[in-house]
Amino acid sequence: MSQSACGTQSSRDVFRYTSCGFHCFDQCVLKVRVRDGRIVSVEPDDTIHPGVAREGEHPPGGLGSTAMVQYRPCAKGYAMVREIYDPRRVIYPMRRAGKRGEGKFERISWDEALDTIARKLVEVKEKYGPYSILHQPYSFLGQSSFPLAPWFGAGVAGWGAHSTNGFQEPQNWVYGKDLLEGMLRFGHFALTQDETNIFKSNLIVLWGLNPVSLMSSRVGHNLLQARERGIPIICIEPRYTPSVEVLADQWIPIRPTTDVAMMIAMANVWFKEDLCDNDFVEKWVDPEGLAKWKAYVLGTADGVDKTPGWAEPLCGVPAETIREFARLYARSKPVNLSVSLSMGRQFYGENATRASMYLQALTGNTFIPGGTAAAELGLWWGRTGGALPVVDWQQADWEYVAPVLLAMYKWPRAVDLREKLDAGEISTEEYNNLIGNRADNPPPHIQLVILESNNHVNNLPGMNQTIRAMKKVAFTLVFSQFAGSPSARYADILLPQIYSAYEGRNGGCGLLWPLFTTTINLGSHFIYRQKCIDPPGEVRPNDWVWTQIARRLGIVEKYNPRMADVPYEKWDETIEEIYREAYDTWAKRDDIAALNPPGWEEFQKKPVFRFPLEGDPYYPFKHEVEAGLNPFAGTASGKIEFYSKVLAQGPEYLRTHEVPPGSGKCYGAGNLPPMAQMTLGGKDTFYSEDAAKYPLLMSSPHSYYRVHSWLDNSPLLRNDCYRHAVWMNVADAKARGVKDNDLVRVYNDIGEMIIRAYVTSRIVPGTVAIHHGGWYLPQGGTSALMPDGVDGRGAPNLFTHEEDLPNTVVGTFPCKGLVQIEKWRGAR
Amino acid sequence: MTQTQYGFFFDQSRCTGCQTCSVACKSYHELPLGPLKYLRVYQYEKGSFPDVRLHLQWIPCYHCQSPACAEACPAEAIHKEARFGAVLIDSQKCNGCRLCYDACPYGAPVFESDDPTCKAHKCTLCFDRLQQGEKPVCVLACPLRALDFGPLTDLMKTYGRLQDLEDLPDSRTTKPSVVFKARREKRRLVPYDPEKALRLFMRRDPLPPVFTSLSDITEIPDDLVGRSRLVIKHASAEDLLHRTRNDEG
Repeated sequence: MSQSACGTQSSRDVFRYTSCGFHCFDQCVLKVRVRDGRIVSVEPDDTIHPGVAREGEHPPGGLGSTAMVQYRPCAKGYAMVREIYDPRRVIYPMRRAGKRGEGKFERISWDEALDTIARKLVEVKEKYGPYSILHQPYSFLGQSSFPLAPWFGAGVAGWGAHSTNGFQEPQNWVYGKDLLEGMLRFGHFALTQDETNIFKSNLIVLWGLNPVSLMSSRVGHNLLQARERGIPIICIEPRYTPSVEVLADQWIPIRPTTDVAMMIAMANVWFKEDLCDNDFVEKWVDPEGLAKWKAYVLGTADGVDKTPGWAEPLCGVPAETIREFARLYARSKPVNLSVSLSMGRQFYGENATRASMYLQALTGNTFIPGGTAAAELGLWWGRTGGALPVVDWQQADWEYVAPVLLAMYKWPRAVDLREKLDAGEISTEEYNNLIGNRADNPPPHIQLVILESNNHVNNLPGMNQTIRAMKKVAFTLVFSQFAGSPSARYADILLPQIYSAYEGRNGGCGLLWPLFTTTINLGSHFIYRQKCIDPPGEVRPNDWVWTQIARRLGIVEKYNPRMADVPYEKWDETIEEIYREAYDTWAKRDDIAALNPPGWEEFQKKPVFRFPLEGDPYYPFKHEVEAGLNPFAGTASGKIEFYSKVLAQGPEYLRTHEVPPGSGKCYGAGNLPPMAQMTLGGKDTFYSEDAAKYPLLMSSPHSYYRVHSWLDNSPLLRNDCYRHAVWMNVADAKARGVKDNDLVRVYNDIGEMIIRAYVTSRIVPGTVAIHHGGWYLPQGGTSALMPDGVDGRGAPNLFTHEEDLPNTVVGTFPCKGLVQIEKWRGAR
Repeated sequence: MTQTQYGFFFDQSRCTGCQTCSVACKSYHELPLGPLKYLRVYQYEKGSFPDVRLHLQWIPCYHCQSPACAEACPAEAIHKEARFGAVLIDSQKCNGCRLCYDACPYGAPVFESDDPTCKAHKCTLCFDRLQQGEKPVCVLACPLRALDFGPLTDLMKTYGRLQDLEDLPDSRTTKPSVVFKARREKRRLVPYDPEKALRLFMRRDPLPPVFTSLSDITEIPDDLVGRSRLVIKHASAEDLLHRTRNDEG
């Protein structure tokens, strides 16, 4: 490589534009350089302000529409292309050649793979009934994502979502609506805000949120601008993250799983010092529930006055800090409080998430410019800029609707416990209780699991339970790029997974990842994912696969009538025509035509459409406010409810009723407090009695270098950018004779791993962190805890207990676990 | 004689150490994995819990006005071109002696491995892009817009004349073509007593204490915390990689 020639460009280069397309909410622009049919590099977004390094810096009047900026990819976006050419990639259909979990496969033809899958679908349905087929991802929010369910007549739907139950359900109790269903039912995220709403705030509080490590390009950049404009920012969380460094004026370290104690103490200060926004409270908060919660907070109900002095030994935040923070908060309206999903992802997590909603209500911040409803995931998807082009696939009317028969992430438990039900060891009602199914519903009988480009084996809590489930069912089908992925290793049939960002045409027929992609519902823009290269080997798009299976099942004209007879050689161009038609139709809409969209040919030169988002930024419930509607019409009282009368009906009610009726959501028997409270000793919390044996509380935050677990095996990211290690506080490391970069054994009662240690002062003592999404990779020997092999990479879900009682199935999608750590002296 | 010296602006107060710049650079220049990093991002910490700060450094080649590498090279393989002031290595002339590396205070010359026959390579200021009127890739890639680029005198008018950051080598030695904005001061919005907090974090009643004395937290032996200082010259490829990885994943 001679630098004096100094050129990495070539006249043979062509450019394509696309977007990542995995489960990331940012959907940045990838400008792809292709040379001789091979992707050479990804380059920065030049579809707007080309060549401008720092756009829109502090313009007078505030930062304008967030649509009109470059959508800069993160390191993952730049690194992903190298995975296309990874020699380990699965590029042919494969059949298991050993035992499930061994990861041994042999190549088969597409015909054999598709015949087998179709045959197994029929067999399983015949033998076990229609509630036997589970597809992921996205058999959630009350639906099944199995593409053929409506015409094949089998499939099971789950309620809730794999990450948001601890938020969503409290949103329903407190506000009468929730974030994600709001999207499905109302077409917008009622509870969230535009990113530019923060410029109207007087105080930004990031509670457990690390925005620059999740979505740096827009959310992170906006927050930086707010900080530079002098808007104070406080981060309350267990780690000194990069967000704390660049965004926060002040870090308030706090123990994970104790946040609600600090929130309760803040309210205690407000009640005693009369700092609430009384006008707002009187108008918008149900007085009966408020009185009950106030009695709890002030101790008139149980004799414990929950002052900052009461909270400080629990959460580690000094009483004076809590008190002064409460006072600052009360006088800083508008306060922009963002609480992370992680707060709901723990035992009793729904207490902290709903308390955060109470804080905003008590101070009158819930629906004002600059304010927030608190619990909108910390991701800011304000309003839809405009309609998106939508393809009409002309699918036939549905003949079967998969019933909701469990909480979505309970499917491994549903499989694992089924033999107990079959053996009569537990009753149907007990079984249903444990999986979030109404007591009198038919139980699911999952025997065929399809994991389509997701890694549930790795990413659900209680990994060893998920592994048992994968071993127990009659048939497993996995689509994955890598046979070494924890989910792929348990496949009976392993199909190659296309990179829809680069390689062609997952049209999105009835399913996932359509070619017009946008940040989920932000609608500030959309990108048409151009095909960059042909996929290697015999990789085929997912809808092509389902179309061929549908043909074998005799339902292809119902599932994909427009492409039923299209041969693979014509697949991509046919999809392109279909998308062009959708675009042309869209461009003719009155509201869109007024924006002067380019014609299709012109659009293809730089296929990014940005909506000019006019007017004031969206804040929660803005559209209701402006329409003169009651934002809380969905609650019984028509106001914000601190106390849930539905929950107060107790375990017997909860196990036999859906909340709300008709939703399919059943919380199961257990104790679910009707209002936010501090409960010590939940499973996998700081004060659990298990801490006597496993004293370190592990959190599993998201990593900048993975989207969930995607890209964990990227050589570029792993080798060059980061070390996957367990974060340990200096004191905890010293006590164990551990130094930075030492190998350590991390273990509890359900898993163990060997991993390097990152010894640091950046984390609250007594707590550790292992970033979510590291793959479970058996390396070295097996053990009683790890029959498939001790983990040599570091998958934190080995330690998280997928359990609920005495709580219900609501808040527990736990990302926390109690562990012990010792220095590892063995060979690795 | 350089017509116009071009240079970088790095806003340390915005840098999160995400390494997008470094990966975008490798992507564009089609560099292999490993120590051949034209651009190195260093993340380290100072202080003790809870008074800790993250420090970030962004180090490409700064295309110095007095490039020590060019002076040190016995094969005359390094020259400063006239149009943009980029310091470029002609790898055909390079003999792999690594004297450029020894001379450079910033460790800019990089090598594919520890193999002594490796040639030196380094950041080219994206010279090929400059010739097309385009800015360097790293500058346009940074998700938090921590970077800018242009004639150094223009950058100084816009951003000031700070050319030194805490822990970096003295800029007077080689006169790097860069201006900086330093990381910010933090302010306490509400009172916070770290010692009180430590005493609270010590206990977990009724369970056993988390630690037993404040010095468990505040006294940090030299080799306990790995990322406690800035090291930008490396004895080996493995050391370079270890120091330029972070722990955010």
